[in-house]
Amino acid sequence: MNNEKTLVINNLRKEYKDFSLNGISFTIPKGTVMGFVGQNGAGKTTTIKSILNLIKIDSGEVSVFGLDAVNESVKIKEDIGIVFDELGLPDSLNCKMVNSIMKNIYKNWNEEVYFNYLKQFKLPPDKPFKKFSRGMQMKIQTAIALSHNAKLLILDEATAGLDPLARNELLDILLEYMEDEEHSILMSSHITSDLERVADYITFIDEGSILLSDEKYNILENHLIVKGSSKDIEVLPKELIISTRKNSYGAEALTNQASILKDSYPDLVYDKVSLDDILYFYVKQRKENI
Amino acid sequence: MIGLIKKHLYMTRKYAFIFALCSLLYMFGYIFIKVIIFDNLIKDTDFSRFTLALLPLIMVMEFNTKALCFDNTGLKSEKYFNSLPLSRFNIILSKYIGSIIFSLNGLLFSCICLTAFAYLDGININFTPYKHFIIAFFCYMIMLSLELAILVNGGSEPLSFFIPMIILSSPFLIIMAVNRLSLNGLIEKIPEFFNKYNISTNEILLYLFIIAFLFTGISVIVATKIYERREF
Repeated sequence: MNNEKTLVINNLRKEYKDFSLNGISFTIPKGTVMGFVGQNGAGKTTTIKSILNLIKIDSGEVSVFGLDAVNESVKIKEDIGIVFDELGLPDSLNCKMVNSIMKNIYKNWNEEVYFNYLKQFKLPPDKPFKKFSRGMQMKIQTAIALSHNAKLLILDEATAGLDPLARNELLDILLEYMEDEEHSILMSSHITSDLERVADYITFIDEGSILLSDEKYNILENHLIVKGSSKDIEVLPKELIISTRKNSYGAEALTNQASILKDSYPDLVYDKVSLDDILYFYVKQRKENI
Repeated sequence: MIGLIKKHLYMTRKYAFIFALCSLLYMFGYIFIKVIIFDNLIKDTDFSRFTLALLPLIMVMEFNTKALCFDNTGLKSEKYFNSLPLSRFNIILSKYIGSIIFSLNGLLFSCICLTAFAYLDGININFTPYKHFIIAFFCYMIMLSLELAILVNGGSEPLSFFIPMIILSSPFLIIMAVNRLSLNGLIEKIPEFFNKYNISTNEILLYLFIIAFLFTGISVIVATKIYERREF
């Protein structure tokens, strides 16, 4: 890891009739994987579309590899590999045709790498995409994204709908890709277990606002679930607690200041926290504050 | 952009066989009507040659616009190709170029069929009959420029069948409305028009080329301007 930034998003705003991005900011340092977590409709895809200049932003700044994502869009996309949740290639095409198309689109297209990925993923070169399973559709997108020496890989819900085996295969490939320190990944997902495995940084988003963005290690280190009776949880200082919920044994709360709380209340039960739990408690806090 | 043109051609390829079959049926139908049944009714005139040339091109128009129209599957294809290192102008221009290449193939196929037709019918071929194909092609380009400006931005596959029909019939409907003609009146007027003016002169060829070129250029610019404002 170093101080260079692959992606900088600063105060990004985009307003729709029924949804808006409310000045979101986060960065991806070079050589790292950013997990972008949120519920469906939280604003993950809108943010990704802003990075790819697929939508016109109202205000704010998006810069990729130090270049403005709006004005230098075509140049930037040479070094971006993209995997969407659905295959965007026409279903009458096949893998061989895609090679012939992409080698005329990407300057750094590497046929050998592409066909190696086809072999590795066991993708039939002549079979039209309409006969591909969802797993195969994700794999062909991944093969394309990795065959032009992309420095930034963007995955938008790429693991959703894949069976556990296919998901793990995809994650293995991503980890292999990250062996080169020039590479970075922005991976949006609501399946947090995938991100717990591969991400270095996590950004939580809800209703168009960033809830939390930090290194995964720090997040998991600073956050704990504290359990006790309803009375025990109620007396905890509000400034140390994100939000609470009742369970069958009493109540539990999420704290983002684990060490202070542990020192002050050593008799309570503390559990490690998952990214899912963190998302749940932060979203709950947000709703309670509205 | 070459990659995108290839993509368009791959997509239109699936219609090529159906197009060839329809064209052959049309040609044989034409021969059948002319030679076997109404030998004296359909004469070898400018009108019959122009019709012979234009109809296969209209079939091309149907098939190639089906493949080139604006994404009809929830924008996923437009979203994907706009995520690649391509300018929106290149995306639009490639659709026009792909369409013209496919149409030229259609023109070539029609010329081959005409040669076969002339051979079977014992007509002595010289350059003149082919001029009608070039004229028909320029007329087709004017129609195509109107059609693509609509289709690449707002069309969808089901609509792509009707839009060429609407564009093709509009001039005739306008002529009928202005001259207060019935359909039968129009059918009589068109051959009269062809008899009155010799459409196969080099002058008309040049004018049509300029008009077709201008229409296509303006169409590309307008379509790009609209496409650049779109969000995916």
